[in-house]
Amino acid sequence: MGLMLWAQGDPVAIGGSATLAVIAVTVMLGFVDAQRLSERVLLGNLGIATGQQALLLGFAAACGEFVLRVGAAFA
Amino acid sequence: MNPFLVADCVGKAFAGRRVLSSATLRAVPGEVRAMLGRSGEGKSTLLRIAAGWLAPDTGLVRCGAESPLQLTAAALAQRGVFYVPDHGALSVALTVREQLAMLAERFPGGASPEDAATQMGVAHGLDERPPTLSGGEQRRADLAAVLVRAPRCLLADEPVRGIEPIDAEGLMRTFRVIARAGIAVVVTGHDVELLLDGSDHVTWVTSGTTYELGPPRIARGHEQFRAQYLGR
Repeated sequence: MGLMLWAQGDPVAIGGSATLAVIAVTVMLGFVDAQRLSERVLLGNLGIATGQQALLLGFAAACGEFVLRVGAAFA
Repeated sequence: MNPFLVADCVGKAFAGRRVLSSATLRAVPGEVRAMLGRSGEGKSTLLRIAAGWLAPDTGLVRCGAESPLQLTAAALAQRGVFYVPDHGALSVALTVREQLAMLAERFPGGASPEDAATQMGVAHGLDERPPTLSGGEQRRADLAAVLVRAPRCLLADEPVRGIEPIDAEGLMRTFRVIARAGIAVVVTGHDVELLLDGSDHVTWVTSGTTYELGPPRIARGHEQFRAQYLGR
């Protein structure tokens, strides 16, 4: 919902192209999340602490999500 | 033999729904332990708690002679616990070779990536990313990672789910070989016959708690286990 508000301003009156953009972004975010999950397991088994993981993955995820949200806003 | 890893009297609830009330997992060196139970009874939750991936509401996780404080996943990994979740232990973003090399560099002393991959029959996929391999090959690549890491304890969540029977049997054989080398192995799953045939000890997870049924021969004859889980 937050993404819809951010992207369009009115989630009720959201247009067709924006809906497609939101769906695409949601799918991509899910993909990013799945990637993060598999990487977390590997990093965990490597004995890398959660804080370090957050630094490694959080930065990458934040960059990725910023790009996706900006993309959705201009879709 | 004393267990290497114990998740003791564990309780866990999600959004008000109690999944575990007082469950215990023991990983004993030299043994393959099968955790069986219906879906939603908390097998995976208990395994994740034992691996340090999830904090219990009550209870504690002890590893070796360490103090009974809640240990993080990283701390447990450094002590020799290797966790394989149901979606696999390897990242989808790197090649199998890269990931095995990372494990070998971080924890020297196990098999080389090439030897481990050859032993598990996935040498041809070393330069592939896991998603490009078949389900059985992915599970075998996970076990190649185990051979490289040479952990003291392996926790595998539903490792034989959704793969060909021949691959599943091969994995169970590998679990036994790993256990015979002195590693504590705990596996969950629903392939009852395969897990009973391939394990040394059966733990039944039901109604938020665990029952140590003992060797598979004893478990098969347990009246309640038969009536409420095996269904025959």
